[in-house]
Amino acid sequence: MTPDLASLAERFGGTLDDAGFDPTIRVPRENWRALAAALAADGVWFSDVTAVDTGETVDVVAHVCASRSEQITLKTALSDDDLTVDSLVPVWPGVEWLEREVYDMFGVSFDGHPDMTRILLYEGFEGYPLRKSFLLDVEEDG
Amino acid sequence: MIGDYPRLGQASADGATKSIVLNMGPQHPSMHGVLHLMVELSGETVLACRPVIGYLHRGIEKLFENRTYNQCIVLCDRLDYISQYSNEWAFCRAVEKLADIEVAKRAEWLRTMYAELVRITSHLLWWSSVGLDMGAWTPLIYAMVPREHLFDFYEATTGSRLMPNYLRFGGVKEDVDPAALEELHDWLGTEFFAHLDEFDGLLSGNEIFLSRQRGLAHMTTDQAVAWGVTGPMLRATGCDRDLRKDTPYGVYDRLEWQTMTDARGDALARYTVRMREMRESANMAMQCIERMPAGEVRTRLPKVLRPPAGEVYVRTESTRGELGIYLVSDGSVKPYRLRVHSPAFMNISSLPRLVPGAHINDFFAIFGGVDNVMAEIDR
Repeated sequence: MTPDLASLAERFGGTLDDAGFDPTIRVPRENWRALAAALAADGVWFSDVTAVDTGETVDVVAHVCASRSEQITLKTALSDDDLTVDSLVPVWPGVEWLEREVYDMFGVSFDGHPDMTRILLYEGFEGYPLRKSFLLDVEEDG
Repeated sequence: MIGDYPRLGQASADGATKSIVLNMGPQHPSMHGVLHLMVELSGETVLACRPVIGYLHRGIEKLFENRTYNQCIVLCDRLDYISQYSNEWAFCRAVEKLADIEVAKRAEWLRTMYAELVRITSHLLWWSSVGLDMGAWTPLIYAMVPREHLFDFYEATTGSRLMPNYLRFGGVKEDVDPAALEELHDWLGTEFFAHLDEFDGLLSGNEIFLSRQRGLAHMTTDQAVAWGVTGPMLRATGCDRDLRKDTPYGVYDRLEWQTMTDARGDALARYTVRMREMRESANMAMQCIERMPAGEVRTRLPKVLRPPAGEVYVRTESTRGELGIYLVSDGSVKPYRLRVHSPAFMNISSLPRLVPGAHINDFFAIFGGVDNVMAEIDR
C-alpha cells in the first residue's frame, strides 16, 4: 500500500517532487521525525540514511521502502550554522549506526540519538571528510 | 526487544560477579579482518557488546568523488572483496539507470552468472569460518578446494582472482571462452554438488554443531526489519524478501529458482539458508550458461561518461543483503556524491542486540552467522 505522499508532504509543510526516479518529499527539519513516524505508521521501513553536501546546505537523505519495490526519498536541508536535526532512532532503531556515520562524515548532530559518536574515524579526527570543503591532497595536485 | 539494547557499562551484573570489559581484536586471529569488539562480561555471560569499526576505512566514498565514472569500478572491487562482481554490478546498475544506458543482452546473462558464482565463493568462505569460529578446522581446508576451482575460472576468464574490474557500463569487459563455460557447467553439476554433500556430512549433520547453533541468538522478522538486517540473515527469520525477486534485474526473472528461507530465526537457520543458497546459486549459474544468447557483450559508449544531472538510489541483492548505491550527479565526469549502503554494516550493527545473555563460547557462533566483511563495513 502506497501512502498518499502529496497529502503527507502538505501535512508536514513540505513539498513532493515526482519528477525523478523515486518520489521525493522535502520537509523542514522540525518535521523530519514526524514525517518518518507517519510513514512508519503506514508500514514503511527504512533502507538508508545519509547526507549530501550541496554547497549551500547539508541535505540529510533517507531512502525508505513503501513496499518491496517502491522506494521513497525523504530529504531535509540543514544550514551550515546549525547542523542539527531530530534523530530517527525512535522511529527505526536500525538507523543508529547510519546516523553516526552522517555525524562522522558531515558533522550533522542528531537530537535524541543514544550514542552520538564518530564511527569510522577516530575520536579527535579534525573535520568532516565528505563535506565539499574538505579537500584531498589529490585534488590540490590537480 | 526491538528498541534499545544494553550498552557497555550500563548493563547490570548479577551482583555476585563484577563485570569486566574484554577487548577482542582488532589484531586477533579470531577476528575476520580488523574488527574490534568490546565485550562486557559477567563471569562467562555476555552483558553488552560494542563493535568498534573503522580500522579499514579508506574513505572510498570520498575517493569516488575524485575519480571519473570508469575509474570508480575499480574501487567497487575493494568494497566487498569477497563478492566483487556484485559490487561492480550494483554500481554499474546505478550509473546505467541514471544515464539510461542499455546493457548488451549477453552481458546481462554473464553478469547474473558471475553474481551467483561469487555468492558461492563468498558463502564458501563464510562456511569455512563458521566452522573455524566454533573450533572446527576441517571446513576451512575443505571449502578452499571448490573455492580455488572457481577462482581459477575467474582468473582465466576475467584476469583476476579477487579484483576483476570486469564490468563496464552497458556490459562487461570481454566475452568468455565457451570452452571455459562448458567446463564450469560440468564441474558445477557434478563435482560441486558432491563437495556440498560432503560439507553437509561434515558439519550440517554434526550433532555437536547442531546443538550449539540451535535456538541461538533468535531474531524475528519484525526485529530484523526494524534493525535494517537484510539478506540471508533476514531470510533466516522466515521472510522471503529478496531483491532478485522483488525488483528483478539482470535475468533473474527468466531463471527458474526459489528464494531460500528458514522460519526458525536462530543461528542454525542462518546457516541453513546460506547452505541452500549455494545449491540454488549453482543451479542459476548453470541455467545462465545453458541459455546465454550469443552476441555483443558491451554497448558502445563514449570513453568519458557524463550522466545527466540527477540522482538515483538502486538496491542490489549482494551476497550479504541489500547493497544500496545512491548516486548524485551534477552532469560532470565525476560523481558528485556516491553513497554505498553496505549490507554488512547493517548486519553487524545488529550484533549488540543479538549477543546479550549469550555464553562467551557462543559469542563467535553468533558472530559467524553475521558473515561480516570489514572492507565493506569500513569502506
